[in-house]
Amino acid sequence: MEAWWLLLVKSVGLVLLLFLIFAYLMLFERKFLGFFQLRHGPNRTGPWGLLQPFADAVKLVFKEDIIPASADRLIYRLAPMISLFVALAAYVVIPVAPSSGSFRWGIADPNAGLLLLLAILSLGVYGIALGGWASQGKYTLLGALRSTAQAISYELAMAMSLVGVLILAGSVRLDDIVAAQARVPFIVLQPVGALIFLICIVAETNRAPFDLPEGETELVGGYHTEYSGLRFAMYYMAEYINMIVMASLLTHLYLGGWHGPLLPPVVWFALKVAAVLFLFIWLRATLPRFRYDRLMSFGWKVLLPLAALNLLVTAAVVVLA
Amino acid sequence: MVINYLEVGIFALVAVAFVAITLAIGSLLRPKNPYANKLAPYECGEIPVGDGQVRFHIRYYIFALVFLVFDVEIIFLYPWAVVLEQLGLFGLVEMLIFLGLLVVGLVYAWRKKVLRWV
Amino acid sequence: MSLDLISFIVLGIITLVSGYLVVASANLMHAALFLGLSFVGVAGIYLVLGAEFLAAAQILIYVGAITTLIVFGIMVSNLQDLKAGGRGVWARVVRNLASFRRGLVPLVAAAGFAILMLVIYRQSLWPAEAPPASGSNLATVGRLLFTEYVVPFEIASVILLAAVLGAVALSRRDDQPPAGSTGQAAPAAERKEGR
Repeated sequence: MEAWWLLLVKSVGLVLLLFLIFAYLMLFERKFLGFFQLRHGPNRTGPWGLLQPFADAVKLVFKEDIIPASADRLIYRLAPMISLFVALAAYVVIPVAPSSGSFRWGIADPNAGLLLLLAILSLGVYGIALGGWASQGKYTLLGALRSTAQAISYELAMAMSLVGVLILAGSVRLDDIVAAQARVPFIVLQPVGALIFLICIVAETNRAPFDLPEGETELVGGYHTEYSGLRFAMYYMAEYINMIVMASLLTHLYLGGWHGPLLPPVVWFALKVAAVLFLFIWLRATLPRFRYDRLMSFGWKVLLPLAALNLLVTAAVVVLA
Repeated sequence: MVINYLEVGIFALVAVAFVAITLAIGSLLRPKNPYANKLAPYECGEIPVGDGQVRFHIRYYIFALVFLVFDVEIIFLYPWAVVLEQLGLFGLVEMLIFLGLLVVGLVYAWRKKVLRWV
Repeated sequence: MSLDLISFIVLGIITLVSGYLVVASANLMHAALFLGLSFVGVAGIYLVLGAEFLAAAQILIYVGAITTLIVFGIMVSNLQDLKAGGRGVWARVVRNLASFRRGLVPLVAAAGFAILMLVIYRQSLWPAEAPPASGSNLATVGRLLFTEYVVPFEIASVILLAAVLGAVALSRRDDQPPAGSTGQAAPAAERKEGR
């Protein structure tokens, strides 16, 4: 147990760090999308557009906060806060480097770490569902419904695919899971599970090619159509911080966490997370959007049975060998 | 016991404080000039038709129902996965029966075309 | 007072107050939200007792799935009375508390139930064990569930199967849907489900 002031400092530091990474993740996404499409991307604000996040932040702070007359005001105000809070809270059990002595490179270390993380992530649908419903618009309601149905469908396959890792590691503490990968990262032993997990986290974060909840060509903005200013920004923050959470989770579960030669553990962890985040952007630049019926049947009829099969094969190999 | 979760509590408080401070700063800086047209729901610039409450198809609800069942099932997988090596073959057979019954349910839903979207 | 006791009292108050608001709010969506909050409070109490697995299961199933299902039900149904009471939850709570039928009767019933529980609590011996100070209780749960309680576990799967079959039966549709049923059809089925 660390001193409470140290915890406070670490908590504030982590939240600030997540906000900073969010801001630059957004810039890098726009830059890379520009490069993929042979454009420059943002390049007017500072060298290489490096001040763009601050320009965006200033602009959004000065925007009026519009609440539609027909909206349910309490839930309309609450929903983006729930979204952002859940995204931030998910990082509480994720360590970024092995504990050195009694100092922990993360916030909390409960025994049921991964379970609590999954429990927190399962609350993520509320922000979107409630926001879309409270706006009382047709686009927002449809976007919220789609998003919730999609999130719960892919949550199943995601939760099932990572059970294979738990069998191999024999623990739900993230530290133990990373320690079990000292020699071989689990992506080598669990290639199918890793692939299913990757697909599911892309779907869970509502990223292309699974970005139907906010499919701008048919639903305007989906669940956040009516939102403006800071509350709109909070939805964006939640989406990108969710991406960071999911990328960190993928790194810990399948890519060996902070293990790697030569460089210090924190650097390895950051590099792997950055690589996964780049993959997110790459997918967005490359793949067209799914059709909704195919998205649902892919989740239920392909990913879920495949995850169950992967789980049973893993269990059989572990037990019989 | 709660001492184990003090970190979680402190972090949660910090996160809530950040969200609140951001919104408070915003409410000090932003303009406020609402009028009826601005407060109408967005429908591509047209005057909204009807109200926002559209009746949706039941299939959304059915997917949530089936999800609930499988979510309960997956909860059981976590303690099983952690102790599988100690349980050995017995544990594997147990889970095969458990999953087998649920696969029957999934196949039934599939055959009855519940999982078909259109 | 120990930290455990303080957090138990706070979580208990959250659970009870939001539990009352579930029945007191006229807006269904608000009621669903308070229901979720009440479940979170219960999960918090589990954490105070050191039951991590139970807490995670409580949040994953009750908040993550069951309340989502309720929210979903509200979202797909077009309930006009939702709008009637969209504003002023707190004013209505106060009014409900003052009224006889909606405030006093439930309160008296709840108080009676509480006294009953208290009497039972005082008169029984609870074979309670102190929760382990540390160590993974997930492994303990797993070992017990898959050796000693294996029959209830397998029966659970039969119950879950019955639930799937029930869900399918509710939504069963014919191979040839009647014309014009693609978009917003089956109002009868929805009216049944929307509650």
